Amino acid sequence: MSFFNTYRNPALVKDCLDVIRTEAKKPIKLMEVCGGHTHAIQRYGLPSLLPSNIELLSGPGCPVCVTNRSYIDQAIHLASDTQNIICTYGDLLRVPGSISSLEKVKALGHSVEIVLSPLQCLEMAKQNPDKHIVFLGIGFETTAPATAATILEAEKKKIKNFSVFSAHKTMPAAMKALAGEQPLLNGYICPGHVSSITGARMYSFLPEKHGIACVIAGFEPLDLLECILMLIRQVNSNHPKVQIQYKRAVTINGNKKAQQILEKVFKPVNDYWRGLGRINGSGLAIENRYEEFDTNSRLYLPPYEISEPAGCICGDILKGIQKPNECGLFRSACTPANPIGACMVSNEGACNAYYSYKP
Amino acid sequence: MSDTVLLAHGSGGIKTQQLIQDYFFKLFDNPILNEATDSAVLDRPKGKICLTTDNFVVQPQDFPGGDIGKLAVCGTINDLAVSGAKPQYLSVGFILEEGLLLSDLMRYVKSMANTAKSAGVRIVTGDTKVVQRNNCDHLYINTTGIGTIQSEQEHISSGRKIKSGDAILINGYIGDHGMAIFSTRFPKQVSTKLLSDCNCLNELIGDLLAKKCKINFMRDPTRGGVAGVLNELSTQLNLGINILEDQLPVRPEVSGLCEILGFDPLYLANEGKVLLICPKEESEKILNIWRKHPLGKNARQIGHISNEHKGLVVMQTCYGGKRLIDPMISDPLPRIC
Amino acid sequence: MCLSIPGKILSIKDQMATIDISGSQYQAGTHLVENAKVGDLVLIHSGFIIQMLTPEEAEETREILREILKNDETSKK
Ligand code: SF4
Repeated sequence: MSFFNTYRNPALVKDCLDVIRTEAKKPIKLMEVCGGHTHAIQRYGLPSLLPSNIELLSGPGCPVCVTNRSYIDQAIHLASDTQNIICTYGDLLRVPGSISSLEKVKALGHSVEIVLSPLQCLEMAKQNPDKHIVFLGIGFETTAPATAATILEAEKKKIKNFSVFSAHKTMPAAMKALAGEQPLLNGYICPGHVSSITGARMYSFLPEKHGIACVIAGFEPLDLLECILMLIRQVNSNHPKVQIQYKRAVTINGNKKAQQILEKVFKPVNDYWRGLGRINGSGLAIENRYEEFDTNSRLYLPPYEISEPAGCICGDILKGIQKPNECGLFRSACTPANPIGACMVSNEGACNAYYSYKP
Repeated sequence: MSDTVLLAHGSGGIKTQQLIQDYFFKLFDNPILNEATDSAVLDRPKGKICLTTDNFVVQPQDFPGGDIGKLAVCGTINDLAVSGAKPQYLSVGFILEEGLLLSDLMRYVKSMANTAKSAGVRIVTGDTKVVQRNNCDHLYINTTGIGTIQSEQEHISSGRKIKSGDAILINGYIGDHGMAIFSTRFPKQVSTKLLSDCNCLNELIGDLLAKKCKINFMRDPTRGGVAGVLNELSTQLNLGINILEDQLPVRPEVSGLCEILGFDPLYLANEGKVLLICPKEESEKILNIWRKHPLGKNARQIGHISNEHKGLVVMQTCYGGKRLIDPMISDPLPRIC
Repeated sequence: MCLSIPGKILSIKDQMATIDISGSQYQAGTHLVENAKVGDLVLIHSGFIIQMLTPEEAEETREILREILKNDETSKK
């Protein structure tokens, strides 16, 4: 099977676009809530190909963008203790805290290591028995199970010098909060990999309670176009429901085993989303039974205040109320080389994607 | 001889002499070097000369497809070759860490000697210093190169003859070196058969000069990758640059790893590639010559110079969409989301 | 990275699978899925297999796509 021939076939893309053009009769507002989608949409240049009555908004799906600044400040505090080794996905390294970033403190000689998998932390813990390994757990239902499985491994292997500083969040909670703020939203391009874990079922409140069409999409150009077409058809027929475009990876019930592991290790808590504020039950904290792997109970963390950089409208961008180029700092004071808000840091942040891919 | 580098090897005393005799003279062997003078005495060539220098600090020193020695010779030879010059002489400066295995040093020196020899370039002078342990990462190498250049080629490095409509060519797959090096950082997570493309380009480029091809610009897309060179060029000369996504030569292994790590092959380093800009009518001739050379088998045109969007590099995606290729901020980082 | 290219399991040892992705190999934990076995097509995220794909599912997507395009034909007329 040639994967690219199937999902990146230019002729099929063109056909799909033709159908979209014929069928999209009225103005339609769609929001993608997954950073991977934001990125793919820009990468393939889809906005320049879609008819102008289809408006794509970028929601809060980039984990880095919604992680509040004080989390970075606290991670920097942890890194400044020579007893600790901080392990993180590369995504977080350049995110600005209120005065510094992990990249800058690494340059000063503090231990900050990039990992591809949280399991690497356990190896590191074995190799450095006199150090404490802190894993910065960020991400949604796609990445949180990896963290949870690693905590279970640590328990099994009796590793004592490892803990997770969790900023994990759950996506549906945010989609619910946004649905309330976005009366004009017609449809959600629902996240692909989050849904492969959670299953499609969890979105059913969106069409039922908020009248929003939902289609779960994959990450290839044809996946996204097909999803958009499915959303247009739902909107046209005035019959919103939950559909799965990304059938090869998503089922109604999702990945049960991953869900169980997630539930075993984490518990929902109220959490603060950068730009969106506090959302009830949207954060994942480590269950008491695994508190020996919870950085919050293992190490001292300084108190913090939640604040946003002046002039940054990340919040409104995440809510889909404003576009990046409507921010006064966009492209002038705020660039990928010198990001002010979180949306500019990650490749999948709305401002960064907008900056990089808009000629 | 002892089996590791000692501070004494850099002291200027007997151990230094031994190192010079047994390693450098023996392997780099040529009449100019063998004079053992403080300065190499060279014939004055006709016309102008090009001078370039580069430091090599690659980690790891041994990587799939090459090592720091080969890289140090290729890198400087390529800097000369892409300027349109014929590389002639190299100087070599070593900074060695106390405790470096002499057998490792021998291997790097051999690989330098072999690379220089097959490129027809002579290593004519050098210097060695040894620093205390932990003051450098095994070894650093500096090479400086001298080449001769014909007046017809002098414009090549500046690109001042580039005009709208010119074709942008590359001699093969991009991103191999960057990805081969990167994969060594996560040996337990990632493994690949990819090799660095580290190679000397002087012969490949020499073929074009010998056949009087018209070339408006050349540069080797090393750190910062193809995106880096094109952005530098578009900003400096206020050019609009168009590249075509479906023409970019990328190996499946590289694009697969790029997907996992969240990288873009356009930003990955190359060590055996040259970006060449020529008048449109010249491109077929150049590609035909290149394709006969082992280092140019997969040569192709990847874009052109445009009248529009001056100062920007724009990629046309496979579907006719457009995206901006901005310069790299710093080394790419692996991402999860 | 939301990697959507499926990988193929080449071998499994101690709950860790070696997965082929376009000719390069990647290590991923099998902890989050049931019955992963050699030859399976899988989705990977942050060092773990997060979902198994079956060739039929991939095949089915292509079918749906064909259907849609057929629809297009009719809707164009
Ligand atoms: S451009 Fe920068 S400052 Fe403005 S909203 Fe985006 S991230 Fe915030």
